[in-house]
Parts: sequence; structure tokens; C-alpha cells
Amino acid sequence: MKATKPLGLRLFALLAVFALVVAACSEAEPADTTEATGGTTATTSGDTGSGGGDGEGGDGDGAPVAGGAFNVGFISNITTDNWWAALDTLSSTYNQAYLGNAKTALFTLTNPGFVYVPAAAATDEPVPAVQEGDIWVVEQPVRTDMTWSDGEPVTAGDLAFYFEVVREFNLGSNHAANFVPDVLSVTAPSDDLVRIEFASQPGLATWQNGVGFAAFVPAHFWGPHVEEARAAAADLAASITDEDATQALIDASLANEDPDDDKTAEDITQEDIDAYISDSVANEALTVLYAVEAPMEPSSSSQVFSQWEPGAFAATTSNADYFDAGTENTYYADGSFRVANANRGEDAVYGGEGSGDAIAQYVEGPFVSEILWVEHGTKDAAYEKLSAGEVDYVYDPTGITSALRNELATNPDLNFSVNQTEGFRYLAFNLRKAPMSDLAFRQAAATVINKELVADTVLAGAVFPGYTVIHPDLTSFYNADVPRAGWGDEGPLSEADRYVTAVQILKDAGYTWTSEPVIDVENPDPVTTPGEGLTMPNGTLVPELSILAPGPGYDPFRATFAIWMEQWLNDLGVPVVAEPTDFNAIVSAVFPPQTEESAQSWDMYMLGWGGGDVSLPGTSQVAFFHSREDAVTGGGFNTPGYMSERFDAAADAFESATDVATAAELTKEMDLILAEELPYVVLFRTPIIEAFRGSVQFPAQVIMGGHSGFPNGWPSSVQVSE
Amino acid sequence: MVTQEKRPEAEVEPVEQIVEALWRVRLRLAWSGFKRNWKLFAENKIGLMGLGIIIFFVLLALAYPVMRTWGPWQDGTIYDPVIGYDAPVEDFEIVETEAEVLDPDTQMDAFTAQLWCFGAVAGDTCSIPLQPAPPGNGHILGTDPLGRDIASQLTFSTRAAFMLGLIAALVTVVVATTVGSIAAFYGGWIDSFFMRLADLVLLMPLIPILIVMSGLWEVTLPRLGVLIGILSGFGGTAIVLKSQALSVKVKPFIDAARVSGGSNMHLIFKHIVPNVLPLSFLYMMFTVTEAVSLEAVLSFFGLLNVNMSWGLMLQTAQTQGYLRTGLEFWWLLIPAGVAVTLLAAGFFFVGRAMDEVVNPRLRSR
Amino acid sequence: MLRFIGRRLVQMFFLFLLFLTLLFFLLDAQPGDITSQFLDPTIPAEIRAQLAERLGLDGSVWSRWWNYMTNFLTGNLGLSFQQYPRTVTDVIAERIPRTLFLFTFATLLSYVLGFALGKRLAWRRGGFSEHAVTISGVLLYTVFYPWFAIIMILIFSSGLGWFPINGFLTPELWRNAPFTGNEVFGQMILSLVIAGLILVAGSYFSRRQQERRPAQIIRLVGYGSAILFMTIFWALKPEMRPFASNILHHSILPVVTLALVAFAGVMLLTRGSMLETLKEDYILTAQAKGVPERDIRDKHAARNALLPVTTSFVLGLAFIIGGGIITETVFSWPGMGALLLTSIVSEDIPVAIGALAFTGVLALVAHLLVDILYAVLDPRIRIQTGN
Repeated sequence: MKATKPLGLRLFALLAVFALVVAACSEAEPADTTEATGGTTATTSGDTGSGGGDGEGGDGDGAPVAGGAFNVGFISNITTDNWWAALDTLSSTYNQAYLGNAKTALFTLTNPGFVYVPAAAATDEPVPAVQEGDIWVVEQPVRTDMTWSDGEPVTAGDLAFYFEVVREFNLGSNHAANFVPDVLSVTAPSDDLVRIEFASQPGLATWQNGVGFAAFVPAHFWGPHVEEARAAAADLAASITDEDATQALIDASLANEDPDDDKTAEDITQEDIDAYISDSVANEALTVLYAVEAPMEPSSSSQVFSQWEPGAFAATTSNADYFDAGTENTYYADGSFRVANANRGEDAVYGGEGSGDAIAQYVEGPFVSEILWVEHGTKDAAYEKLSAGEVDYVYDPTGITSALRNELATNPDLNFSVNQTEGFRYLAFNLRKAPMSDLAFRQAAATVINKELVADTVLAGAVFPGYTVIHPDLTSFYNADVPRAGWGDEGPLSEADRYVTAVQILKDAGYTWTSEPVIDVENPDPVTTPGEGLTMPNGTLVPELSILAPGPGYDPFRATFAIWMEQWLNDLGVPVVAEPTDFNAIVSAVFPPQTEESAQSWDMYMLGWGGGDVSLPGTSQVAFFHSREDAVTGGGFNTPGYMSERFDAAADAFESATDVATAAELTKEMDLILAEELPYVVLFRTPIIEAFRGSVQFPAQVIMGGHSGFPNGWPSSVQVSE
Repeated sequence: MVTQEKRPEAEVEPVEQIVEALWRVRLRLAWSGFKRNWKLFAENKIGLMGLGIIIFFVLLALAYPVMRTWGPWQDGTIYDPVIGYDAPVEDFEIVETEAEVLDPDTQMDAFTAQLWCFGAVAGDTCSIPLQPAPPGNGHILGTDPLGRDIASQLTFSTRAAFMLGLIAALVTVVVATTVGSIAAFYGGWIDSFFMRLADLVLLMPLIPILIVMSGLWEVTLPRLGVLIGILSGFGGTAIVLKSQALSVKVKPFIDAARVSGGSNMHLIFKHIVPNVLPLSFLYMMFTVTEAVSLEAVLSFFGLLNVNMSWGLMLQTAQTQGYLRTGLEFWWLLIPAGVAVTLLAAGFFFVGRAMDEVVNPRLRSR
Repeated sequence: MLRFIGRRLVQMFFLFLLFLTLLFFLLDAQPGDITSQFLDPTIPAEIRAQLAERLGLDGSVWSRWWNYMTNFLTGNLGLSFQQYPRTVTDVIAERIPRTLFLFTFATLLSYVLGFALGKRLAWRRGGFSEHAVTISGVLLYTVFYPWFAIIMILIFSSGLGWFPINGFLTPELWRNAPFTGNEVFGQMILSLVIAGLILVAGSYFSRRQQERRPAQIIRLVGYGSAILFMTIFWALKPEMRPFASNILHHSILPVVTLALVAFAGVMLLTRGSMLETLKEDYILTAQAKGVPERDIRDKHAARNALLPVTTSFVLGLAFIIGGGIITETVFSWPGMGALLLTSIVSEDIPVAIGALAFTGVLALVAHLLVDILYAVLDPRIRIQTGN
């Protein structure tokens, strides 16, 4: 009897079907694709970049920018295509990297060097604030020769529009940081003048590095969307009655566990009701605005966002009308920056004399036709694509994998850059608890922490030991003369001397041991018998302490440090355990919201900071250590609960400084205070190595934080040779 | 191993011999039952292979304390699986340009040197640590990207894997057997409660739930074992064991025991549970397989706070990018991956062979 | 029957409510919240508080729970934190087609393969081939999956260059594409489902034939029309073809990897279930009657052994999302599994609950299907429930 093979056949059929599909597809021409989005690719002629102010909607027949596509590999997913959201609730570095190349501010920082130069401002320096009655006013002229990619002119009104939306819809995060509460209004008396009113004399962070960095937003594009948002908000406002609001407020007060703030209808004032309604309404407006998908949003900078295929890639097209195209930039050894544009007849040097060698020199493009921002689920997947040549550069703020180092050294198709990063990893003490509240204890701990040993020997030079919050390469702000714990006159102390010094510091402060650590100076492992029964000057035993540190899976460097620190402190007689802890668990234990009670839950923790404002790094110091930023009472980032009048005085002076030189001096002073009072022990910094194809030319090789540290600094001038 | 036939056999004992201590009778019966079952098991080549694999891993686990205490791994700073490090360095003389490099084994151009010695200039010496180092130089399986001994990590993690597997399996068996027996014995709302609970647990996809738990808690290995044990004990295993217990419940000897005045607890734990146990042991094996794989997956994604495990070994290699470089760094790719696979397979093989012993319908005769 | 289904539906509903509550509390108890993702010192404290309020993170846990449950039942799953202000439903809907395509494809393949091998294995007890197939099957079944997936990529993508390294499409091709990825996925799933239905119909009618010859013809006609349908379907969409084939090309390696790992489970299950069936009296009867071995295997034994296998197939479908975490992460395939992982890790609680709840709904529906299937397929159960 002849037997059938139904299964084999079925499999065969399945394969046949797919073979057919594949065959059918491969013969089709993929060239018949058409433009998907309805938007116009706005271009006018040529690359002179002097787009006329006429004609709306830009005529779309344009010659796109020559040059190939530049493929950037992201090690994570993009989460929005809305610029507003990318600066607020979805402020991931990836969203900002690809959406952030379409706007101009009054002033900007140069790549490299971070020199403060005018962009849309028509003056070389920010106009100083003058007092007018109770308020302080800046009247800043704006250039009139810039255009959006759709041909509309960029005007002062675009900045005023941005301010208006931020205030009206109560926008947060980066939007709010641009316009701190001290900024009363931003208006445009004319197209070429911005008038900014401040409640008090504005410091650098408020005016120069605040409003000065706020973007001009295309009002003619966003106006209708803002109207829609307003309409949605108005609908909501009309539907909420005072009774609804009262009920909602009562519900909210009953809902939380605290019985003291429970309210009845009598407790609720008209003010509460109005505040509730305006909050809800602003929130509704924001939701509408942030949900707008905005391909082909007009751009005043080098890139126009054009497509997002979620989970796969986003694309930005180069703006052929880019205002700065053809500008020659030169960065000099003395830290100054020359900007010259022959078309506009401009040539100026900022931040110095323009003396010394030219460290970096490049022309503004854009030189690529478009940039594809390719999403990847994991880091190694992105690097694999780089090795295979499918992406030109991996945008990775954490730097390459160490496996890639070997390949970079040998593969001629790949190039790389190595740069300093301004961030740092640290150990924080909980100053609300003994013995961490005692300076002597902190000094002794800092002394035995041999960061040189771990950095140079254990981690084989992958990290550098650090001593200050400010990076040494930010030369005008860096204080080289801060005291270094564990250092003698000639540099780092030996392992044995560290223990001797630390024991002495503790003894001098009145600490005792039931059995003092035995130190043998000759022994490479100097503590032969660890100390025991360390007792504080007040007679109580030092309790069991813990260091919350990220596990080896999250950060092997910090995990390694934690294990060593546990060893050193135990040798000294401090009963401490390094607990590998989930990142989120550490954050939730130490960062706000915290109560007096919950802030007692930890002793020491290890985390890192990065991404501060390199042109005004003192803002980070203030945010981490000012007493008003206390995590419990101020809801800020002063996690140690560090209360120092000396530091606060310096910080306050820094905040009201109106010139960079004064600010720099105060930044140095703050670092000195911190190194003496040790709320943190700054542990180490890592360099960032970035990898790209050999065909890629970035405008500058040496830039602090690497190219990913300044994501909007290079798209306008990066080049890919064929 | 105890079997269902024990009661009839006990009944044929002559009355005079009842003076023999009860525990001896039990022991003898257990032994004969074990012998019979072992014979059945031993016929199964695959089961024997699985047993062989498990024994191999037991030896591997033992190797760690032996090597650390008496063997060549006594030096804690080199062979500690977590904080040990050993990085032989190669010194390179830095020269200006690539053209000046005469001997690539001892010289390196200043640009390339930046990859290891940031800031170094021509004339300096750059010491490049051999991390990860290939096998040799006292490390039979080389070192990992942080310079730690792979062999030491591998053997150290074996013990952890066993511990995790056994905890998970024990918890599963205790929970599932108890729940299954009680649900079957009492029926009614107790049965409904446990079965709906099982349905609820079954609704939870294991990996995501464990990820959630790992965010909620410090998930250490023993805790992970307990979690897996609870999830599988109240879930699928409970349902299977309940149906087994149901078939025991209707056997005549249960009625006999009931008539002779046995309390409910006595009936459940003396009569039903022992007859469900063989199947429980079978599920123990599968739970070990599952636990070993799950731990590896969670560690691989960096979601567990463990100091060392096979999954973490692979994760370290992966985050540093060594897994996708092919076989160039095979000592990072192969040992841990094979260990997870083999140990899980070993228990699975044994479980499968036991299935044939326990389930007569699967026997070949 | 209807009453049975009705009762199950009510049970399912309450079970689901319980499940949702459990999920809510598990996820709500997570330390930290999404605002910790924005640890930017330049953001003033009141702004961060505002963000928490905007994301609905204030209020007591009970009020949050009550809000969540009532909203869920009215179809409002909230807004995603990670992709604020997109709705959770929207985010999930974007990911489902990608996961569905990958996993239905892989699951089908693994079941076809596993069932075919399993029934032969049961027949060929104790032989060398049984041992070889079983051992390699179990090794694949217990293999450390992410590791195996990486090795597959190393061999077939990096090494041989047959398949793309990761992702689900080639950006250069899709730049300015006239379709979104999901539109193409939708058409691909549609065509696959219709072709599958044609195949099922063909095999159903062929089984009803007593004679071998007409059965064969009907089956062949079934295959023929499925192929014909596929050809016509895609011939009518010439502009979509290159995009569909691009996705297909990207999906082959993950599908094969998944199927290789999954088939052994099916194979062992089929084998066990076949062995049990073979002890049944009617098989002995058939053998005594002199029915050819192959017919006994395929017609008598295998068809009855199919029941537990079908059950596990249906139940397995519901767990594709949990299982998808590994595949989708390693292959950078942005589906539900990858979404679930990132949402849990970054504390995007609405999306995490939404995705898990979706899994739960799938699982519940699968349970119900299994119950009904049993009632329909197994006469013994029908008699019981009918009373």
C-alpha cells in the first residue's frame, strides 16, 4: 500500500508558500516608494543658506543636501517624536539627540570648548539687566536674517511664544528650567527685540544660562496645535464645576493615610478650587500638546525631523536652508573660539584672543543628506551593527564595550575617540546619623579608601581617581588645591600609612577600640588583625553600617569599589557591609520624597552624577549641597542632609554672581569646602571611548563628555566620506 | 522510595513477626521498593546519563572548596570568584606614529594607546592588562573581563545552582503535595479555593513576575528559590498532584483507615501523601531544571543581586561585548552556557526516566 | 454547553479582577517611581512633585487602586509614563502585531515539527534514533536560551551572513516607505491566517474521506489553493512586497531559534501521550485486525494523542509574551516582550500592568478554549458536563 506523508507535505507546503513570497518580493523593484508623509521637504536653492523670507510652505522641489546618509546607532529605544515631550516627561538623551537639532536659542555653546557665543542674539555678549522700579529688565536684540526651513522668518515672537506656552500650560522639567520662577515675562516688542523681565537682579543661571539657552519655537507651526490644546483645556474647564472640584479635593485629602489633613467642604477655599481647576486644565492642555506627532516641523537649525518607525528608526533630513551653513569655526589653544561667515560678512572671536594653535577647525554643513537614528534593544546589538558596517557611529553615553577595544586597535575600518567626562561616582554619608555626622569619622573613612589602588591596579586604569566635584579639565572652575584625604606631601600614602593616619584621626577625635587594629608596615597586607569594638567619643559602640551600592550587573566598577571599601573599613574596625542593591531601590531610599524617619534608613550609598552644565558647573554643587536642597526638608538632591552655613554662603554668592569670573572663584571655593567637610567622598571618573566608522569625520575629536555628551553639537557638521 | 503496594505486602506478614519494630519493617519495605524502582530506572539509559551529569556537577561543586582549601586556588586575591583579580600586564613602549612601530608586540602608536592609557604620549610606557586572559598561566579556563578566574567562578556557581535548585524543588514539593492532598481529601470549597488559586498563579507569566519581584525585593538566590518554589508549588504542580491524590483517595485502604478511626490529618499525611510522593519527586526534578534556567535568564538580564552565578558570568561577558565576538573569547562564551544547559538537562533526563518508573503506562513492558 | 460556558465566563471575570488587583499591588509596591528616571538637578523640586502628580503617583494606594480598577473596566488603561502622553492601549496595540507574527509563526513550526517527531519516537521505542533524537531534543529544550540565540546569530548572521543581525526591518529600505511597519505586519498576518484556514479546511475535508485516494486529492487541492491564495494576495500588492519580504527575512532567524527550542517540549509530550494511547484496547484490536502499522499510528493513536498536545498548544499561545522577553531582547525585535521588560525595569507601571493584564486575558481565553475543546473532542467529558 502506498503511504502518504501528510506532515512532510504540510511542511513542504509551508516552505513553498514562503519561498514564493520571498521570490515574488525580491523581483519587485523597491524603487517605487513614494514620500509617506504629506509634509513638504522645504528647500530653496543651493547651500548658501540665505533663504529668503518670502513664500510660505517653501516650494518643495528643492535640491536636498548632497552627501550620503549618516547612520547613528542608538543603544536604546526612541520614545517620542514630539519635541515638547522630549524636553519634559520623555527627556531621554536619545529623544533629545535626534529631535534637538532643529532649534536655535539666543546663545549657545561651541563644539568643542563650550565657549558662550551668540546664536539668534544680535549682540556678542548678553545685554546686562537694568533695574526698572522693582524689576530688572533685559532688552536683547535678535538677528533678523534667520529663517525656518519652511521659509518663514525667525522672530523675537518665537521666543515669547515659547515662554507663553511654558507658563500657560505649566510645563515642567527642562522647559521650566529655561524660565525659572524669577523670570516674570518674555515679550517681543518688535521682531528684532526680546524684552525679559526679572523679579530680582538675575544671576548667570537665570539669564545667561537660563533664558539665554531657551529655544525659539516656530510659532506659526505650533500656534494651531496650541489652540487645539487651549480648546481642549477650555472644554475641560467648562465641565468642572466648583462642586466637582470641592469633592475632588475632599477625596484627595481623605485618600492619603494622613488623617490630620482630612478636609470637609468648609475647609476648602475658593483659592483651592481655582488652583485645582487651573492645574487640571493645564494638565489637559499639556497632554494634547505632547501627543502631537510632528514630522516636518520647521527647523531653524541643521536637521528637520521627517520620519519615525517606532522600534526601528527615526530619520531627520538635513536643512538645506541652514542659516549657519558655511560658517568657519576655529577653536584655539587659549580657549577662545572664532566664528567667521563670509556670506554674512561676520568674523568674531569669543572667550579670548584667538591666540595659540588652532585645536579644532571645521566648517558648518550640513554635509550629509539625512541622519538615520537606528534603535537597538541592547548595547552589544548596536556595536555588532557598527562592526558589520550597518551603522556609522554608536551613540552611547556610557562608552564602548571593552571587547570593542581590541577590535578598534586592529580594525582599520573603525575609528575612535577617547574623552574625559565631567561626571563622577561618589560615596555619600548620611549626615543625619552618627557616626557619619562626625567629620573625623568621615575623614578617617576617606583616608582608608585607597581609590588609587582600585583605579590603577584592580580596574587597570579603566577609571581615574577623583577629588573634586568639578572636573580638572574645566580649568577655569577647577580648584587644584583642595585637601586630598589619604595623601601626604608627596602624593598618595601607602596602604599602611593610610591605616596609621586614619587610626590617628579617630584617636584624636576620641574614638576607642576594644581591640585596636594591628598594623604591620612591612606587610603588603598591612592590617594583620582588624580592629574591633570601635566606640564613639560619647561611649556608644559604632553600630552595624551598610553601604548601598549598585550590583555588579549594573556597574562592575562601583560594585568592585564597594567590596574593597567594606574590606578597608572593616580592617579599621568599622562594622560595615556592602549591600549590592538595585539602582531603583537606592534611588528610592535616598532621593525625595523622604521624611525625617525614612531618611534614617541608610548609612552610606554609592551612585554617580553626570550631565551638568559644563559652562556653569557650580550649579551642580549648589543643587547637591545647599541646605535648602535637603532631601527631607527641601525635596532637593542634598541627600546627605549636609547643612553648612559656610557652604550656603558661598553658594548664595555664586547664584547671584553676574559675571563668569566671580562665579568661577566661588565654584572653586565651594569645592574646597566640600573637600574639607566631606559630605561625599568623590571616588572616580571614567573616560568615554566612542567608536565610529573610519569614514566618519566629526568636527572635533577632543570634547569633554565625547560626542554623545554634546549630541546637538555635531549633526550640522559631521561628514561621511564614501 | 515508597510505593502503593506497601499495605497488601504488610498484611501477608505472619502475625508473630509483628513484634519486629515497625521502623524496621518500613525500612525494609522502602529498601525493597527502592531496589525494584532502581532496576526499572537503570534500564533507562537516558536517565542514567542524566544521573551521570548530575554527579559530574556535584564533583564540580565539591572542587571549589577543595581547590580553595588544599588545591592551587588558595590565594584569595587571585582566585576569589568575586573580588579576586589577576591581570598579567604587557608593557608597550609608546611611539609617535604607526609607522614607527617596529615590533608590534612591544610598541604601540600614541593614538591607539589612548584606548588603554588615556593621556599617554610618545616615550611613555603603557601597561595593558590581559583581561580577559586566555587559559594558561595558572587559570585553566582563563579570566573574565575583570580579571577573575573563570574556573573558580564556574565551580563556585555550581554550588549556588544546586542550592537554588534544591530549595526551589523542596518548596515546590512541600507546597504542592500538601495543597494537592488537602484539596483532594476535603474537596468542596477548600478544593475550589486552591484550584482557583492555582489558576491565578498560572495566569502569571513566570519571567515577568520574577522581574517584578526582583524590583520589589532584594532577590538573593535562596529567596529566588523560595519564590520559584511557591509559584510552581501553588500553580501547575498542585493541580497535577491533586489529581493523583484524588485517585489515591478512592482506594479501599483509605476507607479502611477511616473506619479504624484515623483522624483526617492522619489520613492525609500517613496515607495520601506517601502515595503522592513518587510523583512529587518527579516534579522536583523538573522544578530544578526550571529554577536553574530561570536564575540564569534573570542574571543574564542583570536583574538579580547575586555576587556570582553562571548567568552573571555570561552577563558580564555580554555587557562588555565579548559574547558577540564569536569564538575568539570562547572561555567566556562556552563554559557558563554549557553548564546551565547541561545541569538543567541532567535533571530533566532523570525526571523523564523517573516518569517511566512512576507511570506504569509508559513502561516498555 | 452554553450554561457551562456562561459559568466559566463569570468565574473568569472574577479571577481576572483578582489577578488585576494582585498585579496592581505588586507593581505599585515597586520602590521608586518613574520620576527617579529624571534625576536632573536642574529641575526644581516643585516641578518634580508636579510631574509625580501629573503621572498620577500621588494619593493613597487604595485610591490609586480604585481609580485603576474602575478605569480599567471602562477600557481606560491610563497613559504610559515612558511614552507620555500616549495611552497604554495605543502602545500595546503598536507592539502586538509584531509579537503575534513572530510567535504564531514559531509556535506553529515547533508544533508541526514536534508532533511529527514525537509520534515517530513513540513508535520506535528504545532504538538508537530514539535516544539520539530525545537527547538532542532535551538539550535544546533546556538550553540556556539567550545564549543559544546569541550563538545562532553568531553562526547565521555574523558568520554566514544569511540573515540580518537584529531588528525587524532595514532602515535604508524603509526610509520614506509608503507604509508603516504595522500596516505591513497586519497584511502579513491576514494572509497567513487565511492561508492557514484554507489548509485547515483542506485537511478537515480530507479526513472525512474513508478512501485514501480522494483524501489525498482534497489535501493537495488544499495546499494548492493556499499557495494560489498567497500568490494572488501578494501579486495584488506589488508596492508592499519588498517591505513584507524585508520583514520576513528579518524574522526567519528568531523564528527558527524559537522553534528549535520549543519543539522538543512538544515532541516529548506527544511521545508520552502516544505511549499512553498505545496501551488502549482499541489499538490492540486494530493490530489484531491487521490494520497497517502506519495507519494505526497516524489514524488511531496519533489522533487521540493530539488532545493533550492541542491543549498545550493553546495554553502555550498565551505565554508568548512572557517568553518573548528573551527573544525580542536578543534580536532587538520591538514587540510585547521587549515592551514588558523595559516597562518593568523603568517602572512604567501602567504599561507593565497593561501588558501583563493582556497576557492574563489571553491565558484566560486560552483556558476557556481548552475547556470547550475538551468538551467537544472528548466524548467522555461531554457526558460529564452535559449533566
